[in-house]
Amino acid sequence: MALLGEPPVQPERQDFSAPLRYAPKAPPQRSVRTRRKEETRPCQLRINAVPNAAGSAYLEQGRTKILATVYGPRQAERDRQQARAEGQLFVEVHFAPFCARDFNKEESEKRAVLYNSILQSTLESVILLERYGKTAFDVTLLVLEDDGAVLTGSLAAASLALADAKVEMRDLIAGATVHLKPRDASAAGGEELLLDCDRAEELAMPEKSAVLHLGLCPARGLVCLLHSVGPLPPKPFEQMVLLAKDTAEAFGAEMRRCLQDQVHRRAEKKRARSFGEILEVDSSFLDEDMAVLDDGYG
Amino acid sequence: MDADLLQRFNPEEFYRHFLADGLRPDGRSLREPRRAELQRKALGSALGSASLRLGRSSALAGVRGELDEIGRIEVSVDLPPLCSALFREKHRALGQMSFLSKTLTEVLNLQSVFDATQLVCHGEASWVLHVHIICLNYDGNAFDLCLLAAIAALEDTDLPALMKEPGTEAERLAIAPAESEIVAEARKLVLLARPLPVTFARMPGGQWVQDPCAVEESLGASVSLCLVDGRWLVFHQGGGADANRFLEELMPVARTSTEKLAKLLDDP
Amino acid sequence: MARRDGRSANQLRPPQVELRPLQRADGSARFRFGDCTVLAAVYGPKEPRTRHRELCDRCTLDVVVRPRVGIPGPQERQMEALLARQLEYVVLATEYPRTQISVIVQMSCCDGSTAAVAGNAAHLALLDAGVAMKATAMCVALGVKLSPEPVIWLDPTELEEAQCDALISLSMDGSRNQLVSHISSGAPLDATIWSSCIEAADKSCKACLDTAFSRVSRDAGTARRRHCGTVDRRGAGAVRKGSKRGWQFATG
Repeated sequence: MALLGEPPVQPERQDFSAPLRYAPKAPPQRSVRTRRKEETRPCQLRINAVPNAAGSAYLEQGRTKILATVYGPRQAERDRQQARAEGQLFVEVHFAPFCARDFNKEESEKRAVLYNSILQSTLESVILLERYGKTAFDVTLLVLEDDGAVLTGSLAAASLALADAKVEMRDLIAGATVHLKPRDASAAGGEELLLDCDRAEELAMPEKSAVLHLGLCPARGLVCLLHSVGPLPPKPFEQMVLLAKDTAEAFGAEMRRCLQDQVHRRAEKKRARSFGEILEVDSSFLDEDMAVLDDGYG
Repeated sequence: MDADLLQRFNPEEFYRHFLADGLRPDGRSLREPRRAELQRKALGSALGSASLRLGRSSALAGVRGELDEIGRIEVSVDLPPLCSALFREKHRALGQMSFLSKTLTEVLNLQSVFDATQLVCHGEASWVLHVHIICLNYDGNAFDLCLLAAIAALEDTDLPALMKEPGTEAERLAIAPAESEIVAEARKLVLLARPLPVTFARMPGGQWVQDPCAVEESLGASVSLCLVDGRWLVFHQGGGADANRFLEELMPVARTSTEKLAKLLDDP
Repeated sequence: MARRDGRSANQLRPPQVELRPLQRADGSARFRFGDCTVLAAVYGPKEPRTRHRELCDRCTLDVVVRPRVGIPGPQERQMEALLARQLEYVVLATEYPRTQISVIVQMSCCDGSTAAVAGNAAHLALLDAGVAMKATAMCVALGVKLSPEPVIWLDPTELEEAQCDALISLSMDGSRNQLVSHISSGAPLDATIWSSCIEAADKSCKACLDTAFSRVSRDAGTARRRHCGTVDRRGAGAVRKGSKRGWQFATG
């Protein structure tokens, strides 16, 4: 036992058999879809989940839980990033170690790298970065629980957080994920389109299935992200895009409503204060816009 | 001067005005902790989990299980850049993260706190419980926040039943589905005693305030006392404190407030 | 139980101080308790490397701990955090706005009580660099053995640390009788043991301080001459204000 300083010397392992250390395999989950094929899981949005941040949002879709925060605009560091006429965006996705039963660090890091680049370019296309010269934003996403549809969920959460941070944007981004299950050799019938699959369903997908992620700017009606993996014949592809678009539109309306609610609540509070009414706020739960004077970036 | 400006540019002076009246800017008295809110079973993907809020500080703890030769608890605390702008600089967070991870691992593995024999499952295999704590919003008092979240998550932990994994040569265990031949029973984790933490910060005037927020922590030293089975662990990093008196002064206060914490953890 | 090296329970290993073992640093010191040796160097106050580190009303204190072999791990990070908090208390940071002071601590021989030895070395290196400080903060480590009856061993060696139930590292400001930091690991302790630990640490910190200061005042003359020589190298704009104060404090 050493208080600080060098760690004690570990006794060498005597046997050189396979290391015992492993996570016990969980029994395969049976995927039972109780929803209809074109039905999403229940979704919850919450704005300002992290009061320290300039803007933040929390998204829960089924059991997928994603937290997004935005810090900034801050001064772009003069050494590393040459101050540019255009603002800069730094997106980082993290998977919490407890986000899935079969969590694998390396795999999730690889996934995070992929998601980083997709999210970064997508978000850059909607933010009016030219209005934020010489500044930078840090967008951080934390996947607390991974139960499918993480990419599109992250996109929606990030755009809500940016809106909450009052960053000037062209539009919000709503997303939807559609899976294509190929025709079963034995059973009759065509391909199946499945909307918003959870993780068990994703893992149970047969070979030659495909997935499509779509990001949509609901107000402008423009697609800002289209990403697919797997073989996609043209006809189901069209159907998938249409299904995803409809879903994203509905999702976008919900996001909009959520933002409006937040604005109303803030306005109400402001009015109450300006009239000098006594605010009945629990002191330890000071409300965000009263307590946060400092977003940390001066 | 405007109160907001004063708070921002001269927090010391700002606090002095309040402390003179025995109050803190958020309305608490000097020895009043923030409201704590605990939620168990916050995650479906972990063996046990809990989310805890102390005022505006919040953290999420999840327990993951692995099998190894020696059963133990391993705590890792993460203060990601999303929880506060203070930790955008990795260097700054790392020191505190490794301090918290190491200290909590040590505290939770104490013989008087945790009986490691309950982790033995079959032959040489034992559970190693990784308690991951992620701070979601940092507003001071990370020690209490993380320790309480870890305790709540561990008390929430159910170890699943294990069976021999079929079709493997080496003896490996797998989580058993219902109605199969199990070699290790499912069980609930039990802590022998709860290590209960109380943190104080020293204000410029020399008073000690309980459960400090981030601003209060930055104004002076903070001391974390941890009561384990009637005895104390003390963690005090930097900042002056009267050598002869302060423990005698703080220990009785801490003792009474740990009773409240015990109630919070007992609450279903 | 007697101690292996024949010390009594409340006896320190002889402290040894060497000032300015490194000529190119702005201040450096080597401190040892018995065989446990740590070398510390101070650079600055200097311009911070990145804008992010610059604070408009004070200096940033940057502590880096290097292990004897290998790359720094969590242990070192933790020690960095402890030292940084400890030194932040003693350094008059507002004297050096918009600057950075780097403290580099190199473990050279670890034999128990490393945190305390590192703390002492870092503090003495700051003193040698002439950084303005409001207090001294000498550190000692204590080991507590609970059974058969509680014994407190001052300044345990690595072997003794392995036998102890709890380890405590304390740092004291001797002149104001204030605790700067104290951290325990291992078994929890009674309030009575705590107070006797603090008392023991108080006395030994003062003893440590005496040794350090006798060394410092002996070297003060030569060191000051060297200091004058270093001003040119660092050019105009370097802050030298603190150096005089530091030495006055040290000798008086």
